[in-house]
Amino acid sequence: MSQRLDKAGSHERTGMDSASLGSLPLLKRERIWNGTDFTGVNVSLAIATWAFLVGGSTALLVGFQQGIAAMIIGNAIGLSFMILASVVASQRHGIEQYTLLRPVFGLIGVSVLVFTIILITEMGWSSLLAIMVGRAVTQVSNSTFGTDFGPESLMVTVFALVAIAVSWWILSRGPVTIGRFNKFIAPGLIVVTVFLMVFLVLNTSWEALFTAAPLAPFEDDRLNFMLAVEFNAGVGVSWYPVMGSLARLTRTPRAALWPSYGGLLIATLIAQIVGMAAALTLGDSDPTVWMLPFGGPVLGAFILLFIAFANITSTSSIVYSTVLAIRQASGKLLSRVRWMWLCAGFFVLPAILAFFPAFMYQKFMLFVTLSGAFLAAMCGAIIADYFVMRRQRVSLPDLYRHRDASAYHYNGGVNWAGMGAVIVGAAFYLMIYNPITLETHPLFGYITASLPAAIVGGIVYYLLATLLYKRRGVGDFVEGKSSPRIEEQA
Amino acid sequence: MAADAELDYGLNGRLKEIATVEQNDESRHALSASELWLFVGVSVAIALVGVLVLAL
Repeated sequence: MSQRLDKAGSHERTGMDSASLGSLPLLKRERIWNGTDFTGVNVSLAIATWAFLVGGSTALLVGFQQGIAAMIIGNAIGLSFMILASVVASQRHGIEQYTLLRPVFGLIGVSVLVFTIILITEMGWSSLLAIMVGRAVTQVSNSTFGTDFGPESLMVTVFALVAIAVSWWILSRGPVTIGRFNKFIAPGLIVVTVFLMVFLVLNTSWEALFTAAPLAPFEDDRLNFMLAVEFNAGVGVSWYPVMGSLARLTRTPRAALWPSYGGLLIATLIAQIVGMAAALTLGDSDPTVWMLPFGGPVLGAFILLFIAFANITSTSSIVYSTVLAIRQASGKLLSRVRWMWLCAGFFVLPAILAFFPAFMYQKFMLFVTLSGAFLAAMCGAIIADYFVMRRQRVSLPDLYRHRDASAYHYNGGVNWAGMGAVIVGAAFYLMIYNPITLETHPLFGYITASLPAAIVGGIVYYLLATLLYKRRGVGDFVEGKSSPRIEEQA
Repeated sequence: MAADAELDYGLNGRLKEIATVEQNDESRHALSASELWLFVGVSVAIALVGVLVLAL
């Protein structure tokens, strides 16, 4: 069995190069971050241009005070179950989250989720960031060279495609290069945020800010507020695809749990609130429109170009763990494909979407809430599996074994309880709140849609997993079985 | 060279070492029940701060 495990390990490592750094479990001595380091990492992630975009989009629905409330409530909800589902187990075992999903969804089930929910979520975000680069650069061009490129012009697409190409280049160089760029970008974005804050304080009164009307609200005030809460909850849960891969680098559970929650929450709130205030002051939700009126032609253009570059490095950061997940989830299929070509493959759809800048901006909220529906249900199932059914224990060798040698093979590599939980949880979300038609159930006004979707996902998982697997002794749900198994096999 | 040696430490060795560490870990859980409830409680409290902001 040991030989089989080594074979599995070599398979996991096939194609591993300095760019991808592989996916083997990290040992205690290889963990590099304490609580302070990890707080810094999370603050750097959260103070990104997408926070301005979310703040600006929230201003479409609600005014300043309601917006702050919606951001606090939404992020508190979304981040809490996202962190429980991704950070805790990855920190404990030193394993990134997609390998740890195998007990919940099965090897094939994880592949299905990675190639649908995760991939679409990350492709959407990266195409949006690239379009934002296009808009930022065309704004600079209009201001400096007197051109007249509109926010939906072909030049926006051209610069978005250049941004994607540069993101690909950075990503193909690996996490070390990404980290090198982020060392400059993260402090720079903090400076930009402070700059926006100072400008707002100097040029806008609190009274004007608190009385500013939302930019494009619906008629129903209560619906506007709940949509803003749900949108922010969706943003909170959308951190899922990257957090586990980062948390495994922390040394202790305390260095992972609170820094990820506090770092993401506080930094997100600050950047989003500044973004919302800027949007309400200037009457436009697009962050690339704010900088020239705020900073003037020279400083504004410089900030816009900086934001453009920050978007490129943000894209590389979020895509890194997704491409790593794609490689693992594909089994043998993509294991021999070179890292740079795998990264190039990822960017094909974002490049196509870059031809539709207006569509991507208009559908931003829809995209975030829809992906949030599935991610929330996924988180519910993961929490039920890890905390309730397994009591925080998994058989690590079984995570890496193939086919029926693994306790997590289930039926044909799919844990149907997990898949069923995601489908039912997401369906429940759409029943309470349909982001396409904007139809809502009265419950939506009180409990949002993400939270009940996660709870329903968890309950369905518990019932189905008990019925289909635990009662039949399938899936290694029996408490305490995992540790002796490691002793036996290793 | 030291870094290469680290990377060459195979899956079996890593799993064995992690299992030993986890078995010797007195807490035996990533999060204790009290820490888990504290986390949930703090999250609820922060959400209530949002409700308070709305009510002001």
